Amino acid sequence: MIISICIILGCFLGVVILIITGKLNRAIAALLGALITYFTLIFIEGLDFSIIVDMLFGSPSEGFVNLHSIIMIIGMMMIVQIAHEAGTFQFIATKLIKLSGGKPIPLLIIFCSVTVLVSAVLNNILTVIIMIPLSITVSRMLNINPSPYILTQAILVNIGGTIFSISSIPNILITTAESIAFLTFFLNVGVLSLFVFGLTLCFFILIYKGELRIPDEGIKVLKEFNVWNVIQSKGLLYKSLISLIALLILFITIPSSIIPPDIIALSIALILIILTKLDPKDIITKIDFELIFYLLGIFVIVGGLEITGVTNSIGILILKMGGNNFFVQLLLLIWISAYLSSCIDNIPITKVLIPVAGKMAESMSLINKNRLFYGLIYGANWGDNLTPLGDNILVVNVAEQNRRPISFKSFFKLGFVTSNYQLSIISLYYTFIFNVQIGFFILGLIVCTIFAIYLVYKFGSKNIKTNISKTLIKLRDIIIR
Amino acid sequence: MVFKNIDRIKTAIPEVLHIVMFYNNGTVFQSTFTQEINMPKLGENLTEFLHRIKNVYEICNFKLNDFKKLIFETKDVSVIILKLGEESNIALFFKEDDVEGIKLSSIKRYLTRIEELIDMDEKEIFLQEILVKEDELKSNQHLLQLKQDEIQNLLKELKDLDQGDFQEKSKMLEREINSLKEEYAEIENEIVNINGEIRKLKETIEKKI
Repeated sequence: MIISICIILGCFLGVVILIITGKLNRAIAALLGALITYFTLIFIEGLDFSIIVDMLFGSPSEGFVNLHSIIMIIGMMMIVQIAHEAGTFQFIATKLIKLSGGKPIPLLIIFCSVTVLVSAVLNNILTVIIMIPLSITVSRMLNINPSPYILTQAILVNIGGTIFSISSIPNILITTAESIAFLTFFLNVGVLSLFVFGLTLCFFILIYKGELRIPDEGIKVLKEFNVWNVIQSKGLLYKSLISLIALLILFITIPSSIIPPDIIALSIALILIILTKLDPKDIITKIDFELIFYLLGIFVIVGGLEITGVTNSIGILILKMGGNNFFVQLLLLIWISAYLSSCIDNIPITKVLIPVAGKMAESMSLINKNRLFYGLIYGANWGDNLTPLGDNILVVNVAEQNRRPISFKSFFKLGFVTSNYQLSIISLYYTFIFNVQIGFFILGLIVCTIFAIYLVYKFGSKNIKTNISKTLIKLRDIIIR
Repeated sequence: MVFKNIDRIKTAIPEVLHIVMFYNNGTVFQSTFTQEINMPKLGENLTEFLHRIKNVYEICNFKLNDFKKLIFETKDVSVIILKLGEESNIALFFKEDDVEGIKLSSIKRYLTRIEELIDMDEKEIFLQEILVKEDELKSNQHLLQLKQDEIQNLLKELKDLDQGDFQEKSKMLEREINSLKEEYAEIENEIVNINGEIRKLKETIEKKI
């Protein structure tokens, strides 16, 4: 068994390194790793081929979880592709941006809210591909520097990824594996994500307030921008909008025990293709098969880690580190998954940590078990911005392609500070749930500190006032410059 | 604003059938075509045009400095794509096949105005930043002057002190003077930094030009 553990673990780490360094395409790297895992399990462990099928699609006893995840991803990709073709997201975004009337703070709020809304339905990459060029184009009309808007949007994409169970691949993997319903997810994770989004937005307004200026002429030009130019036809727009709304309603109203959500997504996708009369070949060729192959490869490698007991051992290790205190274990899972997904793609991290969390939750109540998985969702999704090593690097590339390069350093600094801020809010929330006194103590401490600074600033001497504002400006400059 | 300039172009060149203003990412800003036309596809294909030509230059090892215009003539309708700003273009559809005979110079100023309106140049961002920095500089210089005045006042106060509580008050005033001098030095440093930033921004603009 030791040899198999070493080979499969080495394989997993090798795939991770290949992806980080960009030496090999991620799908090929994962499939190569899967092939090595296959040989190890068949020839060293003496298992038969059915175990590989189980790893690829999920065993019947687990309810074919992996297959459900794949169907869900394909279904959502088709729906999103049609909506993208129709210009639905661009239309909503442009319409809302025009509503801001070109005022700096409302524009920042709308840019950020639209990004979160779009990334709640689309994956992060597609959101960035749609939103960043659009923001840059709007900035050209308004005669403004788009950097603050691009940076804040790029960071908020991850929050949008935790609104719905379909918002990101880690969510789909976790909710399918643990049979967490769409509405349950939204009420437990989505609502809290929206709350954290609100606090993050306040933070952004605070630090960028002085930076945002929009000339009057730009506002007039924005008003002349015809939003209908971003859509192919009104009919296609309405059909795609109706299908998106229908999808959400069906997800909420139909229990997964009657019709699994992935089947709902696939059905809507097929109906939409037929109704819109778009070329099916065109839609099918635009499905991200690289992602599908990558996922299949990761499923096999992580399956190998599960069979050899590696994920089990990680679970036991985190349990021991938490010292039998569920609250500490939960915080550990959030922060470990966040920092891991900051350096490694969050898909393999989630796939590895699902059985780890499963092991940790063995003797727990359903509520606590779900809390562990919610914690994993926050960590895996939000940790991405701690370093610019993951998918978020795309933002820098897209901005550069549109001739509005953003500084790598500013992106890293803002992302690191904001992610830690968001993870701290979640940690404080769980502190309140598990220990109200400590929660109030920490919150009280924060509020008192802010209030004390405010009082000193308000009633202190001129010197103190100057020093406080100078320190605040310095802090702000450290974050955004 | 933009509409006015479109009207002026159409008046200056009555042969113009339609006008499409589009960005290099395919977004159509405004067009005189009706909404029944598939606007995103129109923008996408016009952009594709420019990309293809760029690729042709690359294949032939020609240096593509800055594209100015692209002409596509047919018997019934002809198209001229003109570069507007950094990332924007304007496509003019004509009902004539002899677009060479059309004097584009008569609409040049309208094109420049449209470019100014819909597409801010990168150097404009740097210029805006310089303006912000200059404002900061002015406020710091003002602050510096205030500190200087405060120091002078305190020094004067120190001179005029009564003998009775001289020791105690002089120490306090000296402390205040020292702290003001520190602040003064800090502001001076900041001014140097801001000047440095302004210089860098100006250098970047020069490089871009």
